[in-house]
Amino acid sequence: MTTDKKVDSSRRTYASLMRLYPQEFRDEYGPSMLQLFTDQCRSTMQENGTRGMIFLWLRTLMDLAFSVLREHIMSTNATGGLLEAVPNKPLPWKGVAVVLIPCLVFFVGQIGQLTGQDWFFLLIRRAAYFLIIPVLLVWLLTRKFPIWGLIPLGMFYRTLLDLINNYEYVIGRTGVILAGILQTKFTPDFMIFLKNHIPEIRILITTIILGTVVFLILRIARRTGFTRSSWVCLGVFLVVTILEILSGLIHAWIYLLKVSSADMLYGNIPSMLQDVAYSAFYAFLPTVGFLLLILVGMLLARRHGRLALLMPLGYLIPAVVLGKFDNSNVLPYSLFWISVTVLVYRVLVTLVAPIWIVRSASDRAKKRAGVIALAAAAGILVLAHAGYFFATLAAYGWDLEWTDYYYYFSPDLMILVGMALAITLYKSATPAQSVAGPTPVGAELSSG
Amino acid sequence: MTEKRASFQPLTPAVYHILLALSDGEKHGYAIMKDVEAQTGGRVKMGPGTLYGSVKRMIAANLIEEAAERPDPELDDERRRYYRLSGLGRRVVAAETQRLSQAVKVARQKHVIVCS
Repeated sequence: MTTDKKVDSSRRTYASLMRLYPQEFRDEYGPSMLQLFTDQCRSTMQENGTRGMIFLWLRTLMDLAFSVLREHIMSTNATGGLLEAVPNKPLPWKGVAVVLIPCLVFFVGQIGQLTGQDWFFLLIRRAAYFLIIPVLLVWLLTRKFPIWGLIPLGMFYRTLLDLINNYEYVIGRTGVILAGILQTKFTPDFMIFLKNHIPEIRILITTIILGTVVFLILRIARRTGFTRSSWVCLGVFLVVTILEILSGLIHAWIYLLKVSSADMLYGNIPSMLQDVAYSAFYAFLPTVGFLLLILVGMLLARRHGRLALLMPLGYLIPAVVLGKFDNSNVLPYSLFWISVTVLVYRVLVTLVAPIWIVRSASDRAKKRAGVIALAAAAGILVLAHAGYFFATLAAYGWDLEWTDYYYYFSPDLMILVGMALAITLYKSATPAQSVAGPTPVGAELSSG
Repeated sequence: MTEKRASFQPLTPAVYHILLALSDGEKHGYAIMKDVEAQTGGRVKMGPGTLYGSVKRMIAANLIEEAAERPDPELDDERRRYYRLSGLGRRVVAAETQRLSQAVKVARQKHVIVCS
């Protein structure tokens, strides 16, 4: 092989290997790098012949491996894919892969449940705690909330709300664990205090959540302002909340009247009132909790724009597809149809919706993806609940009050109105302009 | 300005050698690479990836800037991208050299290296 041929074949090989670099880096420096490598080849061939070329290739391959890795980590698009999106561009596939991790964890868990695996509950109950840890670490270190943290945050928030809903159980379990750690037979005093003041603590938690919601509404209204459609959605959401509380109260009251004799009723009014108040709390917390999540999403939308929709999506991922928890043992469908419905819903919210939203380029396309995917998911919930509800009705011939109808469909209504609110709210937010600009380089120069 | 210079210190070897290579005039990529090799007695041999990765970050940090594109009469007729030091780059390389010479002075006082 002549010198020119050797140089030419090395040049062609290096040109092929350069495809490993990020596209934007290649576009900017590819021709110069190829020119430099060709110069190196010519000079090496003249000075050291074939042996020199072997050493040059070894050095070049080492350089290629390290620099490819570094450019992928440090390039604007790479940062855009892993921490935040570049405005008006689809998220790079590597970013999409990281966004999908929590979704896949849940999806695998769901398959586990449908195939009767015991680890399903462990995975679903614990996954949110582990998935949120890297998010918080990256947030702390970079002071940027990563785009792939939005779904874990929504999932973690839902787990937290579930814990608050099961407050008595959590207090009881924590007391036992603490007693074990402290190596004492007795539950620590402050745990006993918490156990004895459950109603007061419920009121405190509710007040804190409600106070935060009011604070955020006022803050958003003053700083960025609500659009007319946001106000409408917020108004409808508040009506849904009030109806939810009323229906919860009336539902609980009617149920108590049905199951209690007159003597029991009049003899235990304080206890019954407490039960009714608990019902109101159970109805109130998920609704206002969901509203709080959507409003917090508004703060994240400043950085991530419409992609902040991923956070309420994370909240929706573990949604119960068939029936409410309290009646889920009365399922009128065959296992096959339950599995199909559940899987279609999960595929939609854990795979289709996130991929579609993050891969949409423009703000308008992201909105369209969010609306269609979430409307389809909510539609499946409504159909599943309706089928479940009417099948149960036919099977058991329940004597229903209007509150029963509302009680069974209110979660779907809450999701629909809540997501509409999120879509209208996040519309007014724009991603930080700085993300399109060059990455700060002081740190990079020190580490590169 | 002192603060801005200090924020770059210590520079990575690649960045320092590139700044030093450009301190005596505009150069294209291959000339920078050869200069660095000469500066270090052949110990530092930069590949295209390391060189242009550093160039990209140094341009973003305003340490160097791109000059007019033109052919190098000593090599061939291909047009090449030339780079030169910016004002900030010149101050940063001076500050880093001073820092290193201070370190060398201390090393000599402590007999870590022997005076020749």
